[in-house]
Amino acid sequence: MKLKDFSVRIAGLAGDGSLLAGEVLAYTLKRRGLYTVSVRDFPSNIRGLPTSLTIRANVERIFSWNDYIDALIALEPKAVYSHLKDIRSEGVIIIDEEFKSENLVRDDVYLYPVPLRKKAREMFKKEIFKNVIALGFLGYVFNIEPEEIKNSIIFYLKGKSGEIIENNIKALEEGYSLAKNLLKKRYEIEKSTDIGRYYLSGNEAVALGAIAAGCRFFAAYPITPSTEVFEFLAKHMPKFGGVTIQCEDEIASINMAIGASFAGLRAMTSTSGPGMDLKTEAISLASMAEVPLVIYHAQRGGPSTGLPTKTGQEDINHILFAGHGDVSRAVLVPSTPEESFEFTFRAFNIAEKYQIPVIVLSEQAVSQNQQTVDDIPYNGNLKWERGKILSEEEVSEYIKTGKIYERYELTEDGISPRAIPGTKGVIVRYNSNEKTPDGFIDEENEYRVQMVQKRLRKLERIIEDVPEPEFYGNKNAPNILVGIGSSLGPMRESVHRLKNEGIEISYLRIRTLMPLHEDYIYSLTYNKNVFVCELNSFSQLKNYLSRIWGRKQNVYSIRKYSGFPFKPSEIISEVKKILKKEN
Amino acid sequence: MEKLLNFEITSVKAYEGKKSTWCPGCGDFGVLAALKQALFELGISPYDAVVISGIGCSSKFPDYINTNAFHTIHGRLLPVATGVKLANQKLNVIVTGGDGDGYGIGGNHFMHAARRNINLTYIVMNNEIYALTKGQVAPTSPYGFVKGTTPYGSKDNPIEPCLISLSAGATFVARGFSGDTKNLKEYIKEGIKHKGFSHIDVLSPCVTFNEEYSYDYFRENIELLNGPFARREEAIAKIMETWRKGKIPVGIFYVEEKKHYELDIFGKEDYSIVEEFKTQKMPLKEELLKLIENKK
Repeated sequence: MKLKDFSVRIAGLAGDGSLLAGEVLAYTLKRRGLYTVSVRDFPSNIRGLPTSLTIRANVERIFSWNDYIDALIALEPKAVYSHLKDIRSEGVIIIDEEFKSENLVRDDVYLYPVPLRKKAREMFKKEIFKNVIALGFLGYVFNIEPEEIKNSIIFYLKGKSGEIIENNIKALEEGYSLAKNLLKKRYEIEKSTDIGRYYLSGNEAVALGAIAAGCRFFAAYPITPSTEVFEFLAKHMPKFGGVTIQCEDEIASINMAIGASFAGLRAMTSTSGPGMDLKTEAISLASMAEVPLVIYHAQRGGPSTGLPTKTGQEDINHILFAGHGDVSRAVLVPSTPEESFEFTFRAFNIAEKYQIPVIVLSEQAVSQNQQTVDDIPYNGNLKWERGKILSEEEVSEYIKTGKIYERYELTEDGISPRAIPGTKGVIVRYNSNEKTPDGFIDEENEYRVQMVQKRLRKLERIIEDVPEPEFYGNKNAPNILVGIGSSLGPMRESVHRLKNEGIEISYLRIRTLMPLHEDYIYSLTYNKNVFVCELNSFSQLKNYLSRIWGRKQNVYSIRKYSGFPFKPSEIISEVKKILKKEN
Repeated sequence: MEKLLNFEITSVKAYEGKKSTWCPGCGDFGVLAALKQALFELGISPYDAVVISGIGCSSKFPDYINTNAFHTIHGRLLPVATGVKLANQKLNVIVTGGDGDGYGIGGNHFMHAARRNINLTYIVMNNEIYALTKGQVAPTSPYGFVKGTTPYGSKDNPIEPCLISLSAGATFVARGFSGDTKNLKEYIKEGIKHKGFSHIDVLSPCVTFNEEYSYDYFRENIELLNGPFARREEAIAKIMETWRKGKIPVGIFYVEEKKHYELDIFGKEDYSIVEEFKTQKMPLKEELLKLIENKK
């Protein structure tokens, strides 16, 4: 039987090596020319709690996990039971023969008890190799040549000792030979050509986007699920002349970035839920002092410490409204590694053009999960646009004419020219208080009102520079899904699968939460049944968008808050349930 | 304010900012005068200096001096200044704040700036009181202080900021008195010249809300120590000894020549990422792809 679209889950306890085996498999599939999506489920813990990696593959580009899995490798006994319901009929389970499996209640799956730990102990005196033995077994199930996986192991273990690599290859081969003796069912999977695609997480893409954008200062405090951005930049930023710094706290990190931006650099900080709470005060500062700043925020489940390693879209309210007073900002929401790259790049241009904080709002499922992508969208369209920074000629004009430089000059478009501190001839004066155009504290009515109006004028045109919503499907469909972030893939599949069931539906994926493309969203959703899909319990997205629709429109909320992204079936069944009730 | 056209500074007037709104007699006037004089004598042009402040009376400092400036938020002046300094080491970064600002809300940043030994000059105008909010106790106020929010007497013991910066790793630690601008100016000059984190605590009387700590009180109670001491431990011991006698130690307590933070990171003095970036072109796509390929 040939599988066009298939999913594998490797599950165990943290420390069992599920992630490594999964990454090796994903890389093998990439080299087979398949697109993959992986979904990581891991605990906020170092060792001993359940963890898994699900990899889905297809010859076509996919954006989400599926409703079921075709094969499960269970590296610990409990994993068999917790994932049993997800295995499709005629699927495969590979478990250790030492696990008691008599309680397995499904007889429509192929169960293979394999001496994983026993063999690992015999061969290497270490149980840790059980993951790669199981991977070899799986390779045989899917008819993947041992060489293919072997190459991935070598790639993934680059830098490790020859002995470790050799032992892993031996373990892999052992898995194949065990499978040959036991196997009852074998599948064929697709093969295409590897055209040099990349297997990339959202976090890695954000870091790359920052380097490409000319970000040369990065300050942060480690926090899941954003830390990989920091690690990537810490390693690579110095090669581009820049610097990264791990700060004493979240507050210091955003304020350092503000300082570096004031000094003339493109600067960024990154964080997640609780960290964003701490950064809020400085977001007000960046807005008021008109400091360009990029803040990367990868959401996790909340509130408080919440679900540190799982996904959510619970910080919409916070991101849109964080800060006291009328705080200017833009908020971009990527769904894929490509967008994570592109939006980060564009965030720097927007931040400098309008001299405001720009937030790239991701979530665990987008930031940490990896996908195979064709390419990074780095082309002629992306350019460093630094906005109004005083040129040398302009500075010499100030010197020649004796005119005093005004940091907060009242301009028509509300954007005042920025000068870099240290430039001879101009004194650069930033202020978090209300001020006169030259930056001195002033609380009098006259300048207060003019400064507020100046800041308002800046916001009028941002909409021209931010990503538009993505519409997908038939424009005349009477139903439409609306969502952000990780909902992209599940919404896309729901559109197809609901059509097969006779329900015409489209989707609108919002890519900029602020400013909002209100007219566009209104025109596409007008007089339709709108289903807002979101990963929170307060319907934050629906409530925010409701101002577009008013009370007359049929707007429904499809919510999930387990810590995982939607599965297509979850959206489909909700849509059907709501439509049935309404008719 | 004098507009400098030829970058030659002929008088201290070049550093004059807006007219101050401090209360007449405020201790901060002395600090302002001392800093302006110090910058003038060191020949640091207003274009090459940045004064960064937090919030409070003392933090209005940037308005009153004609240099590049950033008036930031409460307690966050040191992180902002650190970002500025890392971005462009050619700037002389002077950080000015108060005791509530720096030792209360910003206490954590104070400790970490000291341990980082980042090359900043941090001047704290210490009046042992929260003044701009009209008189509440500060981390430096004495036990039992009766003020607006402590009507039954403060139950918190005061901190000794110089002992904190000394034990955290600051490489230049001094205390001055704003009533003695002559010495204070020298401390500030030494602090600016010093490569590393310079902490200068300044006794700066609040004439409106803290009559207990008046100019006269300080004149009678300060004791000039014969520093700087050769070892950190010695400086700490001398400061503690002075307090035990009921006197307030002033003077330059400790100076250590040690590789400062930026030098350690970049391996060279006066490196400016801002300048370096001017010559940079957008990275080639191949460079980015190489980063992906080498991720494992």
